[in-house]
Amino acid sequence: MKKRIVVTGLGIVSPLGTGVSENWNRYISGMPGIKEFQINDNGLRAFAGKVDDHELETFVPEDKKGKIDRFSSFALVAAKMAFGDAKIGNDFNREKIGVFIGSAYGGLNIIEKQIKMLYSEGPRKVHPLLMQNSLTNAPSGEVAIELDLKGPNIGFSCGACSSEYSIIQAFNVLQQRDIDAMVAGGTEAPLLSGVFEELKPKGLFQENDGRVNSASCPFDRERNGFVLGEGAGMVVLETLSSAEKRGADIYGEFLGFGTSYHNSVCGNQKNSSFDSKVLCTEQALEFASIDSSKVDYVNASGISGIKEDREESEVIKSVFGREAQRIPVSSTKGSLGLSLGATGAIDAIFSLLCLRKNILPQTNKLENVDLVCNSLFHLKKPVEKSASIILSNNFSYCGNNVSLVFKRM
Amino acid sequence: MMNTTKKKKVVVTGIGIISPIGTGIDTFWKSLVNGSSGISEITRFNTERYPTRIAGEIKDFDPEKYMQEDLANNLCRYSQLGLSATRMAIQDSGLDIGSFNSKDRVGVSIGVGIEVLSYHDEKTAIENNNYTLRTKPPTENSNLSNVVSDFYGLHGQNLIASTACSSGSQAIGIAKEMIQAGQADIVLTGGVEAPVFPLNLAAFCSLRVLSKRNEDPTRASRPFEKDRDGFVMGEGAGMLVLESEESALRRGGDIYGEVAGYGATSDAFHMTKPSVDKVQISKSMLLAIEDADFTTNDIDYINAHGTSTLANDKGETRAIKIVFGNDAYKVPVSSTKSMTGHLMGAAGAVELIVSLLAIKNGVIPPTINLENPAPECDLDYVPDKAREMKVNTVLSNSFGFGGNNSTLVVKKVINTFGNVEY
Repeated sequence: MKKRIVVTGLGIVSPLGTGVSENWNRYISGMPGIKEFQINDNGLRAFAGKVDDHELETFVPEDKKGKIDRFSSFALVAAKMAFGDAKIGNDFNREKIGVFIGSAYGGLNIIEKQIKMLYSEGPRKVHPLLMQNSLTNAPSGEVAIELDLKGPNIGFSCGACSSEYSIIQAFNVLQQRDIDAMVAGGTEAPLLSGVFEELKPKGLFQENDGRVNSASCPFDRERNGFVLGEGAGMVVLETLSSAEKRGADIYGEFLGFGTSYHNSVCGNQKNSSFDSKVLCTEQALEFASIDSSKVDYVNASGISGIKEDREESEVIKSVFGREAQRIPVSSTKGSLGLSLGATGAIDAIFSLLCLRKNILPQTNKLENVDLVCNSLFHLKKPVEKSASIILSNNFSYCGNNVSLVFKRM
Repeated sequence: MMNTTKKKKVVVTGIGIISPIGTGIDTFWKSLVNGSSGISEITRFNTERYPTRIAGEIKDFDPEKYMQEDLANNLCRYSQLGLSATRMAIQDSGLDIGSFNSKDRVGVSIGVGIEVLSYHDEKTAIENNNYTLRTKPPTENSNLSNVVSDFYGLHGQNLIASTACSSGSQAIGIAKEMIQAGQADIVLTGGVEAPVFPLNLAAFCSLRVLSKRNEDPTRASRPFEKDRDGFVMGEGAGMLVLESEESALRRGGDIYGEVAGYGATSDAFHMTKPSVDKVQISKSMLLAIEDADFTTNDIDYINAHGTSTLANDKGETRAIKIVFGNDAYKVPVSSTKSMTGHLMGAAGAVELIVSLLAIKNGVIPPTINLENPAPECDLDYVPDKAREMKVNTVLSNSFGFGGNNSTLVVKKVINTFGNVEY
């Protein structure tokens, strides 16, 4: 007998700010989150979504300031926020809550600094916090320590789908083990020159002729690649029975998910990238036992990739058929950028907020819909709607695909 | 306990192993039974300024035996090891994965403890002319689970579970759950680590957790021993083919054993020190035993985490006593890290392979270098000599940084069709 799984807490750190309401309100008001920044000391500049450090610092626990790596700070703040939001009391058995947090680049910030230290000062000057601060399970470890959570604990590394993999594995844990709740999500602090270099050939935004506005404009005909963001998104997943027992506020039910994988560059997968994404979406709907005609809103991946956005449009059209003209679609990347290991969780949070706010968010920075994406119902302004079923896609450039389905309680 | 429906049985049908004591099942097993150490002086980079200069190195690994030169050149060492061990496991399983139809039903779940750091460590070591095994740096930090999926054209779930020293164990546990949830029929799973590089070594040295017995490498890893002074890091890859029993029987695959139980907890105490009370590492064992529908009476052998640190060996001994009560003195416990060194993210998987081979061969590998057990370590650690003994069930512990505890229980499988013992 499958257990019903719901979401009872949310937490976000992003280029739009620290806090769920802040993020939602600023996003809906159309606030831009992507700016041009200086990325390194050599004057390298790039467009990115950067977290405001001053605002973040007010949330980082005193004893952790300067002691944990950037990606752990994001995770810790977002997780504490989600945990507090879920109002989990002191009487909740700590052995029955675990933490799954994903990240693609982990502690690259401290790693880069300590490599420099190694080769300039020698091995004995390498900082003793390097190992514990750079591990992919540093965030999940720190969160467990801070919140006293003794259940299952894993750091997942699955590229830009890391946070969704954390969420779906957390779902599996809640189904199969004697665990009542899981803090799940992802974090990423990738704004380093090495990462920008590495992602250039993968479709990272390259400025053309100073057309600043084309930096992260999903589905727009001016789009020219994805823009990196940073931050963290955390949710508290809980069994319905646990949530009901303690009278928790429920954001929505997590009905099911789909996954697939396809590497266009060097994989041996026989199916195409398009088929892969269709499969992922259909698998999610089947898992959730939801007919495509019942979906009220698609929280699209919409990474602002030239081919990715086109392909996603074709996928949505294929899965939904005629309904594709009716079902509103939007992507948050215009203001948040693609925050890799955090992205899926942040989008899941926005999806759940739609159920709470009865508003569907627009795609910020979308002005002129590219003709090849035109068969969809793109939202350029927020729309009042009491959505019931929401599909959230994460079709990353690295080949992993995950789709999540949420439902109003 | 909480499930009224019986969980699907998950079995191991293929093993691939690359380790400091041998590559391939036969060589690996022979070394274990002979009590051979794989620890030696590090020669692949300059260790002059390091307090610890020994490690468990894999001798003579040639990635081009398992993949084309182009791919080998692109990948960093742990990815080379991981893909190679996966190929070995698939070959061992007899799975004809090339002609497999349902490639969305084949998952990948690999444990890598030190992923990002090791990649950059390797790259910069080569760029700084401080690494002798390779002249050109890896070109891309590809995700190993993607690499394996690409190689075989798989398009199901693929993930890396990263929990430091318990990664391999956790990855296998997750793989088991994936199959039991019906999300995959087969999962390529295990653990890999390639930490024998300059920054990794410096990082562990700075934590003062490594043995400094540089002048006597083969005797440096001495779990439970009075004079132990820290662990010896090693590199390795242990990969397994995990399948639902149904899938294995349907295609006539040979079964090593069943992954019957998995338990995982978190100390929630400190990132590098284990919790003073042994509650959560005990619970990890209890959960795994319970998950397997066993009692402590059913466990024939414990493959300990047994790292050779003061803290772990004392703490783990105490925890075993908490869980097993007086029976703790009856069940043989050994740490094969005494021979392989601490393979970090690979350890949990390599040690599960040891456990399965112990079941298959009816022999328990020893804890070597146990000249004088520490006073607080008074269990039967199978000192120095392998022991012939019928083994049906094994419990294997892995405790990682972050207070990350993971335990697996494996058992012999008796074929339900015709009562043939595997």
